[in-house]
Amino acid sequence: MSTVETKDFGMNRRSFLKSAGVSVAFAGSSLGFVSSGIAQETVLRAYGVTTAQMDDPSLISKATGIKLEFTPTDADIGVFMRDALANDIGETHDIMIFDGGTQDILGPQGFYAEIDETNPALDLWERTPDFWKKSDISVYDGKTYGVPILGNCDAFAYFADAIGANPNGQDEIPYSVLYEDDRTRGRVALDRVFSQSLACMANFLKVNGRLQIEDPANLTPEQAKAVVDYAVERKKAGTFRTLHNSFEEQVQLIQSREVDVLECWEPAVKEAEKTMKDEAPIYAYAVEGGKKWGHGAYIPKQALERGNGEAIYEVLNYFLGGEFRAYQARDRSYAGPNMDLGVEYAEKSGWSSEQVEELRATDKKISRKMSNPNAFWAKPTAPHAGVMEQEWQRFLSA
Amino acid sequence: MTALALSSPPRRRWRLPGTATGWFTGWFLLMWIGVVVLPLLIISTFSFFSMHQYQIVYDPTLATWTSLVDTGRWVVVLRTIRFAVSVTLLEILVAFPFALWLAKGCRSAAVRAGVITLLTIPFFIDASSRIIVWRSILGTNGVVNNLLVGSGLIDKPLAWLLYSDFSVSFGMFGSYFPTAVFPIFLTLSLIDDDLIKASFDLGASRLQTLRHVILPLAMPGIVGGIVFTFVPLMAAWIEPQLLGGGQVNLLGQSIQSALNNLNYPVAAALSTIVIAVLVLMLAVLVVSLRGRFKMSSLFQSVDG
Amino acid sequence: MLDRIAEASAWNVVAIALGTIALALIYGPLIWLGVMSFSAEPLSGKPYPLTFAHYGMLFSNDKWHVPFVKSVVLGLVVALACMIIGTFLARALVRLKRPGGVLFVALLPLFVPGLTIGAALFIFLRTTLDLRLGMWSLFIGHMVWAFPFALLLILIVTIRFDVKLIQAAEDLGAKPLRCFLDIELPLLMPGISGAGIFGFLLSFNELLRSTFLRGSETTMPVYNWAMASAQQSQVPIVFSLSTLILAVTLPLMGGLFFILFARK
Repeated sequence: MSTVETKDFGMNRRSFLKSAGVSVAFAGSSLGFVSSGIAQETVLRAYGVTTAQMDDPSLISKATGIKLEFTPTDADIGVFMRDALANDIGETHDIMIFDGGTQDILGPQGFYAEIDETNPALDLWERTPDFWKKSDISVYDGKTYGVPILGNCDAFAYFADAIGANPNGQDEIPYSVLYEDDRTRGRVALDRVFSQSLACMANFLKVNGRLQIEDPANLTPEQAKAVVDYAVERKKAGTFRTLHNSFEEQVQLIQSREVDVLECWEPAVKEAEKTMKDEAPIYAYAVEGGKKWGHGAYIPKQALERGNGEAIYEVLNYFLGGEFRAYQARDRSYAGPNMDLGVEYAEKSGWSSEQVEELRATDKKISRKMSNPNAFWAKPTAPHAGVMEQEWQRFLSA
Repeated sequence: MTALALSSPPRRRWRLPGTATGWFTGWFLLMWIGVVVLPLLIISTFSFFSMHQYQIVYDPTLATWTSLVDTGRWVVVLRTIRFAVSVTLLEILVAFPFALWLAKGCRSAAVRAGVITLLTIPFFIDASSRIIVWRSILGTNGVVNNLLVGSGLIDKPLAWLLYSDFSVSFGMFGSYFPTAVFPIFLTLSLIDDDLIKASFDLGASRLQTLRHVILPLAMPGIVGGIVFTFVPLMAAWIEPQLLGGGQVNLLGQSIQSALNNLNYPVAAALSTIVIAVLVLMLAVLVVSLRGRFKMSSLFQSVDG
Repeated sequence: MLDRIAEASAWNVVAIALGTIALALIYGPLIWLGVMSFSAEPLSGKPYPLTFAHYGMLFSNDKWHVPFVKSVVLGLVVALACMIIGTFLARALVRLKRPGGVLFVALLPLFVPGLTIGAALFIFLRTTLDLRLGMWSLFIGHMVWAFPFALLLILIVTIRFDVKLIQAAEDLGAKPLRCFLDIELPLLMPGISGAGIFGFLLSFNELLRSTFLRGSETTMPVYNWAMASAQQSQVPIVFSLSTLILAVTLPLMGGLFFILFARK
């Protein structure tokens, strides 16, 4: 293990020096970086959110013989859509990775290619459950545009003692602990992003029969207004301590125990567990389900015209396989299609039985959450997103 | 020899060495109009269009402008101006005496170099990591509250230390202090020591010297300090975002949120307002200073 | 003699006290950040238990190398351009009869929120002119941001520059270039170097415009921004890196400023 690391480090140093040299050349001559690709292996370029990036990118090269260069971006839908629509990212990149839902617009408009489900390199497609491959991550209007690579059902984290819940974490907790519980008033944190907090709040009002709402992720102007009115009222009542904006903030709010309950991503709890052990909060099974979402890998049309199809499908297939699944679940507690292959991989690669058990638990946990009938699918490109954003400003300014 | 040359009044107009004034200024203006004025004109027209499914609909409409009122984004503009004005005032009040000491009072060159270094270094550090740290200091379980509660001064942690107007202003103050000090320090250090000495020799008190000699000469620096502080404050984003906790929504965030949703029209309208406010402020500043300090003469004084 | 204005006076004490408080507000968090870079739980605000693990992670992780180098190089290029263009323009401005218009256009970007400039340049360069964005567009974006500050800093010294010095030298037969290099430039140096430093720093930390103009390039702030969505904490790495940068730049800049301002 250690020899591998030393070797990697040596390579990293070389590539660092090389890039330094290139950069110096850049300073002297023209304004453009020479891309430094080594010709021997196939190089593909991916553009997208960094969740899909492996901590150790050499794993993917070893498994597929393809080097995947990653241009990272934030989870900001506007930046992604702008780059896809106006920046011609497809001219330079072969795979795009983002929240499922972008295919609703980029598919019909011809930016994404349809997935060829019979491509021989995509041999894991057949065994991938319909729950994933026919989900909102992959499909729009009956056509498949994306390969699902991971997903989760977002809810909130809570400190059991603050709300008198069972510390084993198996209870279903209602969202009211976030919005209207006197025990937590002033010690609640919400996500600043409206597609998370406004949608979950709408779902809470919908499930509890207070508002007539069809799709919490895509509120009509009237519905958005009604939900924000409720949000403003709760804000004025002093319910919310803070709105957070990043993963770091979520972790910090937990570790410093600034709040008792917070809307957050599951990896934040995972991160806190590293040091807080038993004192870490619990990521909830919510009565109202939560927000189902997933990341998909999509193929920009131009990439196929460049003749990179073969290699692209190899990588997409890797995303469906055991190694990728096992590492994603271990590092971020996210599930995805074919977790059984992940378990198989972990067992074969000599992971500890504890780690293997954890993979199984992750799978079970996410199945339980995803199957909650109250849970709804995220819709990052919702047709009413503009209205929702505008209404949300009213809450922020209140 | 030098004295002789200086004493003979030079009549001919002084010529620039090498580069002529005209063509360089022309070249610069051309470039700058290309990368600044033109793009801004183009985007400002976007405030009269609308967006549909992340693409611009080129149908003139006033919808964006009326929506600024309905969504409370208009209030955000006023709030932002309030923050920018108060923090700028505070900065200048603290920065001026400090810059004066640094330029004229501090006798150790090493200390001066050290202080300037300390003022510059923070810019090397990623601003958000600098600001993130405040949260663990000001939070309910943070250092300050622990000290206060521990010492028995208060019995419940102060919640308003963080995620409040206070914490945002506090964070801003630290971030923009160096930019306020720098220009003031530069002008002060350029004031000829003999002038100050002459003022004292003529029997002026400290306060008189400050008011009638130092302050007028330092004016370009003070204006520079105000501009350096106020302008970025109008678009400040990191401090309200990280220390405001959603309780303090400022313009930068409002624009950011619109652009997150690729809403160019709203971003364009809000930016147009910011530009208008700042230009207005600048105009007021210039006009009010013109009478008193003859700002414009500063630019022509070299002709003689 | 000058010390009379300040010496032993209440002014002095107040000035130093205020400045010290302000500096403490800046350095308190930085020192805390340094301490936290050794903490196992850097976000909790608890310095213990101590660990070197984050530094280990920083050195074993190579993904930040290329963005870091790109940011440094871009910063240096922006600094150089700011110094050269700023010097020429500032010298030209003080010699113009009516500099107001030019000055206003030059300073215009100061009045525009960064995101707006970013969006405006994106729409202009990418959508209107159909150019492929990259380091060159980042350079333009950073120049638009940094140059007004650089210009103001140089302007402050050129306004005060006494042209009689040049006239004297010319009367003594010095060539224009000699006059510029030997007389003018040294006197303008504090402003010019300030412009360079500000140019570098503003570029090095620039994010808002960069997210629009990056094409598919990744600078250090863009890298940090994107990694925020990795849902794995980057803070330990960012804290360690910041601490290292601080440890390296503090003596370096101290030396530079000592040469510029302290040695007469």
